[in-house]
Amino acid sequence: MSSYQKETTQLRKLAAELLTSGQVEQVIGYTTADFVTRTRPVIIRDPQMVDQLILNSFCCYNLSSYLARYPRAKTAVVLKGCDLKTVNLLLLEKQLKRENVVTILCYDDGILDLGACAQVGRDRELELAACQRDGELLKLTFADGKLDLAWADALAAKCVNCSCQANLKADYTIGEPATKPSDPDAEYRFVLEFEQMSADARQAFWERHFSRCVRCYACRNVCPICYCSKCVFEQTAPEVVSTFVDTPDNMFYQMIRVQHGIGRCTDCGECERACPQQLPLRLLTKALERQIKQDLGYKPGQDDSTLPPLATFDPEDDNGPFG
Amino acid sequence: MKFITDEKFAQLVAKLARKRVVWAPVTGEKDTSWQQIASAQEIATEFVNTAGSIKPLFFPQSETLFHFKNNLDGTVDLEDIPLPVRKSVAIFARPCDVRAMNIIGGVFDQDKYRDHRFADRRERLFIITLACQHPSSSCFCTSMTPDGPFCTAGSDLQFVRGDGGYLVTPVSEWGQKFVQSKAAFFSDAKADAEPQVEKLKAQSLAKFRSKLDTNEVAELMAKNFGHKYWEEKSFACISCGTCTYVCPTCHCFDIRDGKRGGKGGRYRTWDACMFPEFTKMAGGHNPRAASASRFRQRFMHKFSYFPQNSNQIACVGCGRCTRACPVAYNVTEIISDLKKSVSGESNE
Repeated sequence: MSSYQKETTQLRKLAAELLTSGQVEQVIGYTTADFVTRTRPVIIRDPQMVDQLILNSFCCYNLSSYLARYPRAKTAVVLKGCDLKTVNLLLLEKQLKRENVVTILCYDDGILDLGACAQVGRDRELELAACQRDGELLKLTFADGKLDLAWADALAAKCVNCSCQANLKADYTIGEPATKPSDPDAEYRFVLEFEQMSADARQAFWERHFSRCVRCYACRNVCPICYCSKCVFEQTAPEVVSTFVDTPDNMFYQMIRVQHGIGRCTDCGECERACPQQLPLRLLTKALERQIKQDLGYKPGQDDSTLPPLATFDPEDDNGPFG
Repeated sequence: MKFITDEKFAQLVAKLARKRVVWAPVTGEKDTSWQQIASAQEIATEFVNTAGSIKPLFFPQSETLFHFKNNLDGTVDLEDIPLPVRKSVAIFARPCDVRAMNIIGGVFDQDKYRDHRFADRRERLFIITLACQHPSSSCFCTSMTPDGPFCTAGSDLQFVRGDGGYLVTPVSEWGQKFVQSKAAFFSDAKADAEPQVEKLKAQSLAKFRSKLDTNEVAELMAKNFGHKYWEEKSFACISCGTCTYVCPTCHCFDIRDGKRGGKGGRYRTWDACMFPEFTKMAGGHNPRAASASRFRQRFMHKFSYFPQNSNQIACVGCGRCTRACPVAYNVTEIISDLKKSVSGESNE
């Protein structure tokens, strides 16, 4: 991977200072897990433990989802550009108090998803012994041999055409932003291609995939903007969605969940990553994001103060056919 | 021991598919999962294990138990839903999944109570287990049973991949009868077959990297119920049901009525102790409202309560929970870190 040694050292130093000075009570970040390709969310309260914090190309989690657990504690959180947008949204929606959150934006050159890479795959991914970035190549070492991949092929789908590197304000930043893609619409291309399919073909596509959904609710639970203390899907009298797992109800559940994100979801991609059945959920989240950008000229999460169009009313609005 | 060539195996599968429901791992667009097949060509070969286990073959995720109709005179008509009588075949189940079936079988099929929907399905399911020769680094079945990837518990036949075919060992009486009644498909294995299988087993066992120390684990967990370890370790957990639903030994379920107007069906559907409302009671009290208590409970159940009740650990070391967890938890680490936490203190 890109060596983030320098950045990791900087982050640890910063975390120790924030904790020792009492500016924060805790730091939420990434730490090593069991395999080379995995990290895990961690919370540090003792400045002596900051060496548990790491930065690398497998820091996939959107850690903003853990902030809501500590409404009264001063918390620093390690964020990628995509994650910082979520924090902006949570601040805007008053789920977090500005004075209780310290944002540490760590620029990265992309998260790797070797499991999705044809030359590696989900089984082999866990057998990786070491990986090292060498220019535009990613050099992989397994117990039984080596493999070189194009860096671009190893990137997580959401990181290709990343537009989360610029114009974001954080309390602290580590590293330098990567260059923005020249085509601002490149990130929506996969959705546009999908939407070329006929309605019937898309229906068949979704039925095929949602027949595999097991209603584990990982997509809902991992989502940082999904924060109702009592979820409508947990309601029992009456039930909103049956707990008898079948394709139509699986689709209904997902539609409702995703629609809660209209004008709010920043396509952090965690729902798709968390899904144990690898349902292509970003086709939904990204489609909604694109629709809002196209129709209302709005991209959620750019800052923590601009009110979103769907939450505002302006008498000067063009009311279309309603005059 | 017998031998079946690839060609004869394909013929056997085709024959079975004519009269029975044949299940096998099939590689789809996104992953390898258990599907009904008609020919041996559809069977996936290059994978470690399916995302979900064979559990749905005898314990479906959602199942209507009976239909009911509320009559205007106050009586209720009940209508039983008979199970299909056609036998099923599971081809190339992994030894871990098959062993798991017996572990939870003890819950559904006991002296005083027999859940006929589970037990009848299991009875009608013929299982051909494929010994594992390519375990993942996340697999640890060797810690849970000494035969690990070559374990035959619960199998009817054991297949071991050999040159141009499979070495076949009948395990159960049904397996024995099967081989006898279909003798045309099998030949006698060569004299060196048994030592060959032993060699392949030893090679497979040597590949395992993950270990879970089960020595006195039930006592370790019981003694440390109140330890602050659980609060700390559970931080990342998002309380979804992923680990529970992919696990071959998890078996909790919810029972609900689905009805419209005066009629409907009572159904059962998988439930997960990790869900926040799992222990929520009428009146609103929830003894496991805290995520840390649910996290602790999962491991206490598998490694302490279940063993206390039935002398078996409710884990077969398949590693699915570890692979599927959205926040990269590792069950072997959870147990070994508990040990470290506890022994670290006693050394102070």
